[in-house]
Amino acid sequence: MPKRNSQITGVILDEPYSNGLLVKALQSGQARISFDSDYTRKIRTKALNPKVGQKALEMLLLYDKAYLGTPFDNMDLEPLVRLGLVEYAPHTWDSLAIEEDHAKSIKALLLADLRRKGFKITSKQFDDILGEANDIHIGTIAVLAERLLPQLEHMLGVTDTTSDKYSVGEILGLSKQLQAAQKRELTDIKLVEQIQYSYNHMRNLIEASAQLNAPILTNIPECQR
Amino acid sequence: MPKVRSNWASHGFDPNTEIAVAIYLKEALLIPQIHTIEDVLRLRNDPNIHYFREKIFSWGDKLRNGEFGSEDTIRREIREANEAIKGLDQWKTISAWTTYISIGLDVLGLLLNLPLTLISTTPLGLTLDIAIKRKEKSYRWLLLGR
Repeated sequence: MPKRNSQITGVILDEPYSNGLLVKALQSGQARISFDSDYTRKIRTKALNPKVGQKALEMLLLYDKAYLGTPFDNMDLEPLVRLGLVEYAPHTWDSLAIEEDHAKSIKALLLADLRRKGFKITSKQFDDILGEANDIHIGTIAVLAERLLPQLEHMLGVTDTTSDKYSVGEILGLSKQLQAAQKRELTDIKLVEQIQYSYNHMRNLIEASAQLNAPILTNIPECQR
Repeated sequence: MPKVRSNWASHGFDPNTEIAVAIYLKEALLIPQIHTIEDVLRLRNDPNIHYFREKIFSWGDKLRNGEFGSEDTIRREIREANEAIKGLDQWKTISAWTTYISIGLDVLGLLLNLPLTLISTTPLGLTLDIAIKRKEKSYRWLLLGR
């Protein structure tokens, strides 16, 4: 294929276009389901807008290669990989932790991603919760651990129970995180979880775009304040 | 006098930019009609597709860099790209083809007046986005590029 001045050779497909390409690949025998699961069944059976799959194919024609922005663990993509059509985009940010300043800088994308997934979140809600998101996440784990500890001690036959004397949060020095979690409603905690997923997803896409010098095809909607 | 006048309210951007963007977005473009991965594999080696790709990416580069030729040049290039696609078995006409030109991630930030500090901001992004909002009301997806 001829090279261009811009040296752009590939395109990163975000959902739903990555799904659309896989459906097309399954239909033509260029991909196989290696382990059937709810997720693969969803991909196979979910009514996909035909234009989504077609758009993914057009990208594959326009660019040398499509990088999938989402891993598909249960799919065997070897035929597509062997043809040089598809690769997974690099996944450089494995953590669920949120870097606050960075998250603020891509706030528009995070809000758009959350909203396309059906979460009704305002800009103010996002601002209010972001600063404490990491603490809420860790504190929630500590709260759960605390609740599970008596059962664990009972199962292990421990008679001098630790849980009567100390809280898990205190033992681990997580008082601040515990407080952050305990003052929040369940809906806030779920929102933090979704912000974490969105941040992880968008950060990986942006970093992959920088690394590969590839644009990202996404269906992120117009995002109003 | 330019043959195309931007209908958008003045945003204080370079009028040549707006006119060029208006031409790119208003001209109908022919694209290959493909249905399967086999279609893709077959067409990837077609010289008409090579030419088409060259043109599309060249326009993307020009728009991102603010390097525009004359109105006549832009129209001629689009016409030539369309002629190349007519050399294929199947093709279709699209009017909203902004998908094919990558637009900076700054677009959303500009739209929301939020800082996307990692990416440089350009007025062009906003101009394009305004056009996209008008053109692609049903899908509103963007090809977000660097």
